[in-house]
Amino acid sequence: MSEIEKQTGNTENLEHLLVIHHLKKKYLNAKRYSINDLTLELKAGEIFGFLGQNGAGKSTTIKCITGIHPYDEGEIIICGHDMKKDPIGAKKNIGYVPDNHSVYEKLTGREYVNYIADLYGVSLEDREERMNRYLKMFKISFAVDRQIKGYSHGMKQKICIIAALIHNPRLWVLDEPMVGLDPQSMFDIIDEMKAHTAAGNTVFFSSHNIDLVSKLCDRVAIIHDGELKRLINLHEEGTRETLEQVFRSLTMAENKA
Amino acid sequence: MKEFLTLFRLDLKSRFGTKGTGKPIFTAIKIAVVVLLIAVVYAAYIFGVRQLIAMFHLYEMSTEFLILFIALSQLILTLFGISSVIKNLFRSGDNELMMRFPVTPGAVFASKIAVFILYQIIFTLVMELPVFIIYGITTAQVWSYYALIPVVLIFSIVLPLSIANLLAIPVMQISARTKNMFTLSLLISVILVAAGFAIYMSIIQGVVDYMKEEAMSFFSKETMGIVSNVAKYIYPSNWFAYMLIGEWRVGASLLSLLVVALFAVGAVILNKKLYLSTILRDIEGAGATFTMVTKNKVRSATWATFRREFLDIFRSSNYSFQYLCMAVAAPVMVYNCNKLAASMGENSIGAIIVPALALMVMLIFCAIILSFAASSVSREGENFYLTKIVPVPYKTQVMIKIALYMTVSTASLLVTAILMFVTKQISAAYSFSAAGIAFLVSIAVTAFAVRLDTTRPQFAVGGDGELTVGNVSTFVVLFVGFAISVVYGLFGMVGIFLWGLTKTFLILAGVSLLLAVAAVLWLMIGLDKRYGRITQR
Repeated sequence: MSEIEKQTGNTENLEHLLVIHHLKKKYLNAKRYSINDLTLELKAGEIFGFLGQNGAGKSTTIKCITGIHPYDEGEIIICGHDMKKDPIGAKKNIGYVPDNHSVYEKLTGREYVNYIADLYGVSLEDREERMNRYLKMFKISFAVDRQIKGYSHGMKQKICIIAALIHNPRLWVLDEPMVGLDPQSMFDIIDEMKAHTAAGNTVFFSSHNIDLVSKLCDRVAIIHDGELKRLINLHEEGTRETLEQVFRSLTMAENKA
Repeated sequence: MKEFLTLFRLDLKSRFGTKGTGKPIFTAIKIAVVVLLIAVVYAAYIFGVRQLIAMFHLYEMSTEFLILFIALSQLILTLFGISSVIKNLFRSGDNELMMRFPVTPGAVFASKIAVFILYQIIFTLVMELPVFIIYGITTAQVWSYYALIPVVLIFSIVLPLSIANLLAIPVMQISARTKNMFTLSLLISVILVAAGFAIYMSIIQGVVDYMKEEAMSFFSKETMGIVSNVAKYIYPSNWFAYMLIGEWRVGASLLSLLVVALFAVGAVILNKKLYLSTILRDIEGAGATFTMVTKNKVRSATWATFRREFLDIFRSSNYSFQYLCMAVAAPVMVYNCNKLAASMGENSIGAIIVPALALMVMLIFCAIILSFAASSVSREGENFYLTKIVPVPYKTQVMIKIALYMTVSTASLLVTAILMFVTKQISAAYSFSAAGIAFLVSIAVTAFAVRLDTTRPQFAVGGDGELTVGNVSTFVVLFVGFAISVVYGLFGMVGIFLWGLTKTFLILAGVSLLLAVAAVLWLMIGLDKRYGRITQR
């Protein structure tokens, strides 16, 4: 069994680390679906961007993928594990960075990362190596033994990212990860996204920053009113340059209609 | 004035302006039940007070009753006032937001204190007005008594309000200084609570002993003499009472006015000088944290979750008081209650019912401690998503929470049992049997509490990560827990005479086992599905 197979708990050939088929999600008492028949397949080794206006369904999709929200129809398969049938297997392969950077603030940074590492069964060697590397990368070694309650917005975001990566997940999901970060931290996250995918993993992130998505991602999905409007391969010629225009045409046309 | 009105309206809207999301029929039922409960409790209060007035009047001690009643209500209103002032003025959660608006600290203070005054008026009217009227009718007071009721009511509102305001600032200063001293805070709370109970019980014990030795009833000549003497020196409540009943009216009125004015002016000056700085220090202090150097360490997922849950409670003064402090105080209370009952006489009813009484007090404390379980999910607040994304089954997470609550309550029960046995209050067999029954009921109460919270959690947590609103489930669990305690206590006391202690405890153990099994099944069946449905938008 290869390292990746051991990690994912799946011996099948994993061409796609995340498969979403005909996903439908409606909130309690809502009249319409927040996600309507969404289908996506994310390959191993790609950075996948998720674009949409406020309320388009980006966060809801991410919350369904990570197991936070139940969904009504369709299937979500992570590294071969169905989120409904084998949630534990699926969750073991995800690292999630939320948009509100909520963490247990009464703990110190080290206590929090260790807690998350314990839940994912990370060995002492691995957690020490990864924690030291990320603390150094995000320059928060000085605060790791301080209570998180006193962290700044950016520091909380960084400790969230470290906790999400401590078990080296195959699928790294980030919801608006760059909000409130200083430029250097943004570059560090971008570098880590690239390094993570270079190791055969997948990064799935939502953003409002079209420029960043066009420069960083391999593919991008544009979602509007819970429906997938366009799936764009940014390696195709001219797509990076026209992404903003496409996004505007898709979302503005819908708004006018 | 415009600023004040805007902020006052905003405050009221934030408290009462939101509509429930539940079905209207359930909301209506909930309101009806609450109204009914309040009506029953209030009717019992009025009935009780009426009987007391009649009794005191019969023994020609009506003035003493009035003084004692005013003193007691002032004390309650002051204690309620201190906690309300701290909650509304200093820890309302929106102070930081308010400071950013172009409004003066005076307007913020006035708008917040106005809501508090409104509460104080309602409480004072509800508590004192009917009693004054009943007192007036029973003791056949003249028109001047009724005419002066509004004045005394105003004094009764202003005085506790002023004292509460004067005391709230020092309390805030102390709490700011002891913010991250978790062990010290817990230790001080435990000592204070245990000492409070011990003092309270020894006063009652003293009264019982005295009455026993003197073979006297409460309304004996000697007791009446003591009560009269004490009442004479309860200032300023005695002046308020004299003012009403016309005894030394002018002097009492002037002194009352002077005292109330002094405290009110003092409160205004103190707040004017220190309100803004105290708020700012509290906002600044919210970010005051500790540093603790630890090593990376591998733990099992179960132990890591257990430890994290414990630290979350231990590092919060509110939670550790509600949960840990009460658990430590429980043995002291049970021991003192037993001692009091036993002192009624070797072969009297008091001594015989001690085991049942002990069981009842143990159950009451278990209900208080375990009501905490009714916010086990709600307390996660914004971090609830973490419980959903981690690869630990929901059932395991819930079981870990239950294990933590049960560990503390079981330890408390064991200490209580050992204390009762060592001090020879109850035999070892019955001490541990009572603890065993209480343990089974604890399982039932905890499972019931967690079940309620997994059905309808309220994630209203403040900036400090702590619950800002009272969780309805907590009140339900407290109510159910107290009801079980009373039923068990009464059944035990009656059962001892009807079937003897052994049979009574066996019956109670059987019932408790059934309750525990039923509650655990109610919690566990469909738990994964129920937990999975909990979401935060």
